[in-house]
Parts: sequence; C-alpha cells; structure tokens
Amino acid sequence: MISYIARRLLVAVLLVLIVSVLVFFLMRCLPGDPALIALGDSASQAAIDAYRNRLGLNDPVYVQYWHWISRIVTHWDFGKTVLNEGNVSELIKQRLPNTLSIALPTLAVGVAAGIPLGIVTAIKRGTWTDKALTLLLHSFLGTPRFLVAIFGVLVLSLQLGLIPLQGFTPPWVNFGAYVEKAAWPVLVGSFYIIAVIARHTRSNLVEVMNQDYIRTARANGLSETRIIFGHALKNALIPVVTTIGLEMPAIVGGAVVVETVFNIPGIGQMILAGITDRDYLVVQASVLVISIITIGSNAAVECAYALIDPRIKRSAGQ
Amino acid sequence: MLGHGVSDRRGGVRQAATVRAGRLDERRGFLKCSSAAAAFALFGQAEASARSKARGVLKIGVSGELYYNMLCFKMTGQPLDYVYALPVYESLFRPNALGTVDPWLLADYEADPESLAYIFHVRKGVTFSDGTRLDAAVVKWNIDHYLKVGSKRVALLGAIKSVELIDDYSLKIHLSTWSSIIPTAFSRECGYMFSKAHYERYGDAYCQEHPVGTGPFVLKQWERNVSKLFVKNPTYWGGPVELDAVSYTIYNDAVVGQAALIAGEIDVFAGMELTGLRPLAQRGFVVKTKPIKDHASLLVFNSLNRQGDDPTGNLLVRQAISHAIDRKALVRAAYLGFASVSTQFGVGSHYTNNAIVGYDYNVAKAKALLARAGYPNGFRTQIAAASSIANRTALAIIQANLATIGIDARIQVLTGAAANQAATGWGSGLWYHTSSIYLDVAMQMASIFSKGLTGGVLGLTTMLRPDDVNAALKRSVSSISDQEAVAAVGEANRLLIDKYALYMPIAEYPFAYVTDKAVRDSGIGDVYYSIATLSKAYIQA
Repeated sequence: MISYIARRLLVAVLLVLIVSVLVFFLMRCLPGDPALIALGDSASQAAIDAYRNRLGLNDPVYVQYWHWISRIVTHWDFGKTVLNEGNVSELIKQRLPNTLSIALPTLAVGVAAGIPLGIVTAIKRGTWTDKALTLLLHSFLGTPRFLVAIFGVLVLSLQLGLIPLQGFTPPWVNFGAYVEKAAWPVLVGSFYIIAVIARHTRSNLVEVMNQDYIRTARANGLSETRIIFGHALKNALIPVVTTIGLEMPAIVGGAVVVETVFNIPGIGQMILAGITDRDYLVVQASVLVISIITIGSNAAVECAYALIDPRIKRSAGQ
Repeated sequence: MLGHGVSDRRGGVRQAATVRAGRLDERRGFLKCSSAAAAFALFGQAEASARSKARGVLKIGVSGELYYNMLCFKMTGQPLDYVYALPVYESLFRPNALGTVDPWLLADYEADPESLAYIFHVRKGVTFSDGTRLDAAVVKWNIDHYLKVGSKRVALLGAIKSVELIDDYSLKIHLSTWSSIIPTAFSRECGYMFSKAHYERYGDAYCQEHPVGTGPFVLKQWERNVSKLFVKNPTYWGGPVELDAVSYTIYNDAVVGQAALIAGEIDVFAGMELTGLRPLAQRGFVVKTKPIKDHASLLVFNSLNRQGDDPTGNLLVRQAISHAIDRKALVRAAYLGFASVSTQFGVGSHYTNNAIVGYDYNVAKAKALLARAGYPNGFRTQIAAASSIANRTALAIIQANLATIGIDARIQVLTGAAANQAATGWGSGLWYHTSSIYLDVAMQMASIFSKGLTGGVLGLTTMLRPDDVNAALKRSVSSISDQEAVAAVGEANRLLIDKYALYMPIAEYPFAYVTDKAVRDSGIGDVYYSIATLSKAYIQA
C-alpha cells in the first residue's frame, strides 16, 4: 500500500515537472519583450540590456529554466513581476488562500448537496420528483457561471438586498463578513458541481441497484433504506470520488469568472491581470500552482481510491 | 419655569410681592425659555448645516488598475492615470472651463519668446504631504528628473534645454526653440510635483507605491487590482479638507459597476461605459459628459509598411478604406448618441480647418480606388483595438463595411498593457485608436504625429511621418500668435487626411463620469478629466 502511494506521488512530481517545462517554454514563444514591457518603449538600449542581464534573459532558454525551477524548489521563489517588480511568491502567498477559501467551500457545498440530490433522483427514478430535479440539475449544468453571478448581483443584491454586491473578507480576518460576502460566490461556483456530482451519483447508484447482490439483499428481506445506505451507496460512490477530485482543478481554474465579477483578489484574477499585462512570470507561476493543485488532487483521489476500494487495495498491496 | 403665586391670608403685601416676584419669575422664565429656544434653534441650524455637509469617505469606482504605479514620472497620460492621481498630485498649471490653463502650483508665469524662455514663479506656502516645502529648487528637480525619465519628455518637453534657478521661488526654463505648449504640457502629468526629499530618502522603487505629492490626500492602502484608500492630508496647504478619505474600488465588470452605483456602494464611477449612461441618468444620477468632448477615435493605417507587404501602405488603399466606412452609422451604433462624427483631430476647437475635404461614404468610389491600387478583389488584413463595448461595436461595423469592397478584416481585441503596446506599433493592417484630446490641440498633435518621437506614441513603428506634416506641426507649437498656430494645425490635418490619408477621423466623445447627486463640489468631470477639487468635496447628508 505504501509503495502504491509512493509510486503515485512520484508520478505526480514527474507530471508537475513536465508541466513546468511546457509552461516555461510556451511562455517564451509568446511575442513581446519583457524588458520593453517593464521599462516602456522610451527605455534606452543600455537600460534594456541591463534589465535583460539582471533577469538572465540573455542566457540559453534551458539555463533560464534551470534557474527558474531551482529557485522555486529551493526557495519557493517565483521571481518578480515584470511591470512593477513585485514578488510573485508573495502574490501567490496572498492570493492562493483567498482562492482556496472560495474553492474549498464550493467543493464542499457541491458534494453536500450533489450526493443527496443524486440519491433522491436515483431512488425516485421515473417519478415527477426525478423529472423536476433532473431539469433543475440540467439548468445548473447549462447556465454559464457568469450569468448566474450577474443574476445574483442584479436581483439578489440590488433588488432584494439579500447579499453584498461584491468584495471579499478573508475568513481569518472576520469570519462573519467572510460568510456574508462569500456565500453567493460559493453558490455560483457550486451549482455546476452539484449538477455533475448529482448526475454521477444517480447513474452509479442506478447501476449498482441493478446488481445481483442487491437483488439478493432484497430477497433476504432487508429494508430498502438499509440496502441503499448499507450496501449500494458505498459502491456507487467510488467513481464519484474521482469526479470530486477532478472538479477541484476546474473550480480553481474557473475561479477567474467568480473572482472578476465579485472582485476577489485571488489566483484567477491574478492570472487574468498577468495575461492582459503580458506579465509572463505571473502567468507561469499561476499556471504552475494550478497544475500542482490539479495533479495533487488526482494523486489524492488515486490514493483515496486505494483506501476505499478493496479491489484496488488488494492489488496495491501485491 | 413660571413662578407659582403662594397664597398668604395674613400678608397682602407679601402676597403682592409674591405676585410681583411671580410675574418677574414669569418674565425671567419666558426670557429663559425664549433664549433657550433661540439657542436651540441656532444650534439645531448649525447642526443641520453640519449634517447637510457630511464628511466621510468619497467612494469612486473605476474600471481598471494603473498600468504601472503611482510614481508620477512613470505615468503615460492614460485617463486612469489621472483619475488615480486626483487625490495626491497637483500640477504647475491646470485646465479651466475656457479650454486654456491657469497657474496652480505656480503663482504666475511669464512667456518670453524673444529670449526663448519661460519664467515660473512658484506659489508660496505649498507643502507636500510629508511636510516639505515646494520651492523653485524642488520644481527644478522635478522638471530635470522628468526630462531624464518621463514618458512624454520628448513629445511634450523636447524644446526644454535647461532649467535655471533665479531665487527661492523663481526659475527660468530655457528652450532650444520656442514652444507655446509648455504651460499646457505642465498642466498634465509632466507638471505633477513629487517630494524631492521623499524620493531621495526612499528611492525610486519605494516611491512607486508610496507617492508624496501636494494633494489633499495621502495613499494609505493599495491592494493591486482591487482597491486603493487615500486618507486626508491634515496639513494640506490649500486649507481644511472636508472629506476624511477617498477610496477607489475596481469593478472589472461594467454591470457590477453600475449596480454598485445604484446600490450606493460607490458615489462616483469614472469612465463608465456609454451603455450605462442613460439608465443611470434616468435613475437620477448626474452624468457628466460636458463641457469638453475630450476623446477622439481614429482609424490608423500601417502606412509605414516596413515589411513592404501590407496593402495599407498604399495611399490609394487607405483612401479606398476611408471611403468605405459609414461613419454616421458607426457613431450612432457604437456611441449611443454621446458622440459626434469627427472630420479631423480636435474638431470643436478653434483649430478646425473647414477646408479639409475628407472622404465621404462612397462604396463605388472605394471599389474603384482599390482596383486602381491593384486589389480589384480585395485582400486580407486585420483590424485591432483596445477592448471596450464601443470599440468592439465599431470594429464589427468597420469589418462589415470593408467586406462590401472585398476586404476580409480579422478583428483583434486587446486589453491592458497589450493594448497600450499595440498602439505604438500594431504590426500590420489597421488600428482603431481612441485618444484623449488634450486642451492644446497643437500640443496633442505634435506629440502624436511629429518625427523623432520616442516613448508610447501612436504608430511609432507603423505610421508615416512626412516632412511637410512635421514642418506644419513644428510651426504650430513654435508660433507666437494664435492665428499662426491655428493655421499650422489646420495645414497639418489637411496633409494627414487629404494628402496622405494617414488616419481617418471617426468620432469625438466624452470620458464619462457618473456621480451620485449627493456628491458636491468635487469638480469631477466639471472641466476636464484630469482635475478635480477633492479638497472641497463633500457628501450631502
């Protein structure tokens, strides 16, 4: 089991390195000179040369990559922003917790609402309850997050005064204000997750409920409730764990919409600003962080799989 | 309050005295009451007056962040540079309602064309927010520093040869050639004064996020891409400041920005998209789009054509494209009634040249010109612009118009620093440019269309700069008489449009401010977008 987890972690580290290489080289393919962006077109050639020397931009690309990745690994130093020479690591340190304080509750709400909804639609399969809930879930899937966010702003905030218009307070600063301001952004992000998890739960549960051992359990006189919650659900949720793990990067990566509309100073907003400002170090660092979260989530899911699925646990132990 | 008469059967005198005393008491009581009432009325009025002129925080919404930072030498004259500078910086001159400039941090000035010099007399009593004094030495330091590093140093201050101190409050600006635009140039970011003591003590990097100007507020907090907070400068040289603070919040989404105004989350929105203006005006907000239509949009071509393969490098092609665009329809659709069709850069000012022929909307003529140029079936090109609702609409209309003469134009919409950089050289094809029209059109045009410019200048690497245009622009800024300057600007525009078709004027429109009715005396949007009177501003309770 330990070797299984160790192998998964090693693969995750390798994947992160591959992504870092891709991101680094892709950013260098983009047009535009970072020195010109930083110093402006009025800069003298001497100033541009000095800037490029200072940042090692005249070195071969593989040397630049080595310096960049080794600084990250040894000092967690992502370099300085192009436009105003701010510390990118500091920016990430400030912004990542803000993104996670929206992303994690989004996932939690998605799971907490999605699984029960999936169970209800599976149990009430074919009834009006199932049809109504399925319609609702499809609308969650089909409605763009941006639209839902703006709806909240215009109706729930402006018309009804139920939620704040925008803004963010970190939970460690003022938990009450954080809950008030984060409630709608979290819900906006979670509608899609609820729909995805609910649909997966429903389809897996329906499949499991048609298995022979469930028929046997029913024949043995077990109650429907015991069958569902004691036997079927455990097996039906195994694939759903994968889904939950895969949604985490989508939440973090998709944070740009929520963070833009609600003015939340997170990683999503940072990426957007980095792209519009052509601040390639910011974009590089942000993409790397998101890929670490993605690959980390997948690795965690695979390890969780090994823990909860006895078949995998057995083969992992071999 | 009124005395009570005490009934006394034994002593009539006592009774009478008591009654008299009682009446006296009554009178005293009445007087006491009246004076108390009067005092209460007076106090109440004062209190009501104080309440009606409430202090507090003026909350301003903006659509974006500074490209660079708060150090004035780095500013490039983008509208948002000025909006963020309002609380902190003041300049040597400032625009007035007549479209000229008045001394502001200067008490007075003299212009001496014969000696090629200006003499500036610095206003006494001006201090920076760090307590240091503004005097001639500090003004000289600021000008010298700007001449070394400032973004527009060549375009606007290129004629300055040296700065000489005369006395503690006077200095002389020596020019290499006469330039009438110097006062106007110093009414914008070139003329912002920064504390020399602060800069020398803390250095350039620190000052980028810790500006010290002579303004009524001081930057206290800055969360990049989110918000800024400026607090009252208690030692402001211009007198007591009404407001406690000014805050800026960035609203990336225009709809959320409008909602923020309606919800009362902000009091002012600077640079509102035109689509939001009418609905907000209907809700009772003050929409400031007058008195000066201070922005222009122009279609600019890759006339320099360095690669040699761009059809827009051909004069006939440029003229054909100019005839193909229906500007009336474009202005109606993109600017929603808040703009007018432009015939030349700076229309509406007294520099207008009515002799310019221009290019009427004529598809047949456009096709004929294109065929003469060797492109009877059109060609492929691209058209780019900075992102805004108006620009995107304009690009779509231009694309459709060009398609009628066989030109397949790919649209490219850019944002932030990418847009800023593209304006300097967009590569190939067309660039739909939006430019502020600063007060002195001669200055503006000389800083855009002259030869030998550096910095963030329109079309630096893509636009032709013919010698005769350059000569006309030089005459416009060096002429001593207004008549000469007007004629020279008119000639420059005629050459740029009729002879070389280097740009096509499209529209002129305002930088829109929307304010809550309760905001008073802020000066925001009253005269020109680069100034306000935030020291006097207050919020009506």
